[in-house]
Amino acid sequence: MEPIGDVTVPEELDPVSLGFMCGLEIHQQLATDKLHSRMPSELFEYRSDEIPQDWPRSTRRLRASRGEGGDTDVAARFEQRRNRTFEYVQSPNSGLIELDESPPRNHDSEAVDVVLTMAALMGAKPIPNLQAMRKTVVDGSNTSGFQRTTIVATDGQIEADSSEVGIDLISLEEDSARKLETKRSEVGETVVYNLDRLGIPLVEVATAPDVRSPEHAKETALALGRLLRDTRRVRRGLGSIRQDLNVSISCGDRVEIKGCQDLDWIPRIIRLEMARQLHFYRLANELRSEFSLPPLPPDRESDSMPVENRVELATKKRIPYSTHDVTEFFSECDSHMVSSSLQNGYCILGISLPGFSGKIGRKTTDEQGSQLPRLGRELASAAKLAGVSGIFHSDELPAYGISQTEVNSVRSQLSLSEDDAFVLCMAPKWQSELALEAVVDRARLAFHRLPREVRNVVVRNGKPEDGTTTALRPLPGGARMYPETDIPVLEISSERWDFICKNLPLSAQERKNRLSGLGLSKNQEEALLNGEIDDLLFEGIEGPLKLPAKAWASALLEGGTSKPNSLAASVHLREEGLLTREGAETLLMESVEGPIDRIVDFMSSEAESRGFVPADESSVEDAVTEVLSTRSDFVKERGMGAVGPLMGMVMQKLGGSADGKLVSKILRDRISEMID
Amino acid sequence: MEGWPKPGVPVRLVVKTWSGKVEHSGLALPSSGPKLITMKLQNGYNVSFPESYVDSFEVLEDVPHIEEDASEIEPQDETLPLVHLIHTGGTIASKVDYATGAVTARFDPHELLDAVPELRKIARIRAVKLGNMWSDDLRPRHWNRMLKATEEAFAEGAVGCVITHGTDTLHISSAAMSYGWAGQGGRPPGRIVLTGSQRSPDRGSSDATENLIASVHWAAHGPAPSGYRDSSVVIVHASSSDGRCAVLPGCACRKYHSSRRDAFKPINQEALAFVDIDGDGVSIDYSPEAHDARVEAMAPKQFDESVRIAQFISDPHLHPDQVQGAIDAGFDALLFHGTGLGHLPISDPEEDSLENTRLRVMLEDHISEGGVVVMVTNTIHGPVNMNVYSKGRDQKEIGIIGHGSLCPPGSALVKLHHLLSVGGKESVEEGWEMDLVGENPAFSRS
Repeated sequence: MEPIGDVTVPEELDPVSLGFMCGLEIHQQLATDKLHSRMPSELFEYRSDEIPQDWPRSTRRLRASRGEGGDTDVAARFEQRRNRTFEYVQSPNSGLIELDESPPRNHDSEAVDVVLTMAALMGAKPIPNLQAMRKTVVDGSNTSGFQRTTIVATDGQIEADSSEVGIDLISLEEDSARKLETKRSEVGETVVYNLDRLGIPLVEVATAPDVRSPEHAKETALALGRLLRDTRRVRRGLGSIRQDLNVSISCGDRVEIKGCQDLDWIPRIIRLEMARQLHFYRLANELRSEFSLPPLPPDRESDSMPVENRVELATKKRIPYSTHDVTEFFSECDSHMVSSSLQNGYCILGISLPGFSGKIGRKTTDEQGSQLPRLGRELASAAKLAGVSGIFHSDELPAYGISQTEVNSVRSQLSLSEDDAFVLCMAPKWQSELALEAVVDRARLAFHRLPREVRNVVVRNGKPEDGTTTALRPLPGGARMYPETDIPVLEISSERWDFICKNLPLSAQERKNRLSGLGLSKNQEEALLNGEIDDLLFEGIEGPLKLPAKAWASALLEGGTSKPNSLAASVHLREEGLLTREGAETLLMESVEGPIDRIVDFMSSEAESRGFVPADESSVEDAVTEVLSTRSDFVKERGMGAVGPLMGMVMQKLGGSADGKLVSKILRDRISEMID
Repeated sequence: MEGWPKPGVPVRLVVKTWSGKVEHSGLALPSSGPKLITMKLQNGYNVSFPESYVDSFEVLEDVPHIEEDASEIEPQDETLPLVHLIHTGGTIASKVDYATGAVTARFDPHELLDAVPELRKIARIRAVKLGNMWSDDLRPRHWNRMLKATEEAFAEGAVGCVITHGTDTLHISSAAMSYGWAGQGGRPPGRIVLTGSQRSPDRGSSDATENLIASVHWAAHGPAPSGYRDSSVVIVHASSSDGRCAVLPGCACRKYHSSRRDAFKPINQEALAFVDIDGDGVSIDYSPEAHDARVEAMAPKQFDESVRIAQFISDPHLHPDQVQGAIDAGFDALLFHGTGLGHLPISDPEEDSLENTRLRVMLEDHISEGGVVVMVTNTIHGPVNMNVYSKGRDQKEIGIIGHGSLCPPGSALVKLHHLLSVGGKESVEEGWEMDLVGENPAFSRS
């Protein structure tokens, strides 16, 4: 059945009838040391020009391994031509392992425990022998040229919005280095990376394609994020979690979309992708019918290899790759971009796309301002694989300062008929040639099922521009992975797994419920949960000191958690009436963290020797009586206003050992008696 | 495991582990350990399970293996100078089988030229396989085979040789090439380069490619060897960065770090030159030193394979029994790696360390009976000087050879072997003070 739906109104597309399939991949940083180097997982927020002078730098090149994808694709050949070097800035938390100058250490055992805990929370089945693998990466973001990744568990599930989503894979991998800047020069390009992030453990969770709708994708992402955070061993903050989407509809094909950090955007991004897939299915059939080629079936499962091969041959013949130098027609062009490029010695190459007039499309947007799918954008993405900034095509010209006369000259030079389109590219000749080759390849693909590829959300100022995406690279056909021979296989014992399963962390709801019986304010409860200090709270309440909940909670929220045992001891002694408030502050500052009973002993002996034990009630009464007897006139004159000034006198008499609260209470009572 | 298919065959496996039953599909792989079965999942991960966890497995239909088209062999440029690539093993000449992770040797020149196409523009390559050995397994007999292979290369018209070698003992083999060809005052007919890599070539970041390009470039286009310092050279990364390789005197350098790219450093002297590799190509940064070229040697002097040398490190645990053992076993020479300027624990000022006195007496007796005892320094850098302390003067008195030498310890081992192959104790005594191949220069700037 032909897919129904209007691509210009993505919100109204029906996932069920379009055969929507979707899965998620989540990458979450763990709050442990780095996975294979034991360096601290710390990020240094410097811009490229702010990097301290004394951070060492190394310069490297990477060689793409031959084979996968072939050396012949445009991106690989561009990579060879562009002479890219990588400069690595060695942050204080990166050493020889991050620099690829020393073999890695085995898996950080805390990180393994965290991932096993996540696996247990998702009901997944661990692999009993963990084998680190090398996944080839040649963009320089890994100094070694590969990313280390270890499959930890498979076959789990999570509940999202009252529906179950399968978990296919849980793995533990190294995060990549952070790109600081790209420096371009005449001889090539230097990409500068900060090594601070390289090696931070990441858990990757890939769901099964069980996501039912664009909204369900968002719910699933939320549920997964919550579950990972329940372990309390994940890093938080910007960039600590990354979501990728795998999306397809029956008449399209699987596309991986990267960069969906803002979960609220997920449904929109997915709907726009559905619209894009539908658009290119229809465009393929439009083109096929005009070229008198057999139609593309509405479901990719029904694709016939022989038919597709025939179409491929036919399109190759009809759309040859043949460039023409048309620079001469632009010598008097009004476009500033064109004239400055020509001054740089660039040339303008053109190719013809027979039968494509009107098919490449002009920029249009839907009601929400998102660009609608069109071939022109895909052609431009393809050209960018060769490093050019963009292309011009005949569906949008004349424009950008390029005149009708110039368009006509190109058309006649390329001997185009009315039905034919052309594409121009402006760059050094070798680069234009590569770019236009990629354009022709992509134009030929327009006759087929949409390509399986990795796409990136278009981002402007750190946010999705409009929810649309651009092509990044073809989807790797089963990532090229081979064993990391420097790291021995790690055996997970059944005892370790049992221990993990018996000590699962509480869920967020369970934590909330646990707090609700303590009589704390809502604000306090929230602050304790956000600060992840509720466990500490319960340790104090249930521990040997049996601290009262309210006082302990206030102390934790005010006093911080840097010295929990000292804080607990001071709260305990205050509550027992053995330490003044002032004394508690002083001793807390001086105390060195250690076992709790030792700190209690230390604080109580210091309290005694330094006069921090509160005066008992009778000595306070005596002191108040004494002061009031000499100041009765003042009390008459000021009434309750005398409390403040007299307070200081009483305190002085007691030599600082009084509990201010008690003094104030007795003073108040006695003054109010006097007034009465 | 019985019935488990051969590598590459699709298989569906059900395992029962302590976490429950799971099914996996993928390709069978060779076992990654004893009593393990291993497979590659569709997502690329390898997984292994103990055989005892296997519940059942099913061999799926074997997909016909498509033979890759044998690519046409591109002929090499006959106008370029001939360079022999002599393969002994090590990381540099290995390649990885991506399915299994197994590392195998790569010495087929075409395969190599495919992997490093830059070499096509530098030289005409002929590959020779001497073996596939970890360098820590090498023995002096292998030095002789390398000497022979270089001799044959020059006889066949090669202008240079590149010996690919594991890095652990690379500096020792390089010294052997120098003493073999130039120890008797001559020079080799062409350039001899030893190179290796510290990062395996399967990874994009490997140093192998640049090391190889720089080495072949030097072998094909470097300055003609004078026979002094340059009879053999070691070419490897000059720093942690790519783009520059150091050309080190083969008779005076050493592996100085277990893992860094720039592991090799010249000892007591400077690098001979540098080879720069950038987007524009390869170039040599070299300022010639004024040495008259020696006479071309007819053939290298082979090492006497019956010579045996015992080495000892001088420190608080140097025990006389060890040394006596070597003397009793009839070793041809004792080589001590002395502390500081070249000292041994042979005096007993507090009269509480009898073993020191024993060691001293033992050495006195051994030397007076004709034994050869040589001293180098375990500080690696710096001279041996037995004049500064009375201890050193005593050692000289006893007859320990080595005073005044700047020859690095690794090179010294080979020099000693070379001199023992030429003559006896006298040859060692006489030769030790000399600067045979550039190992013992008149002065040191570093």
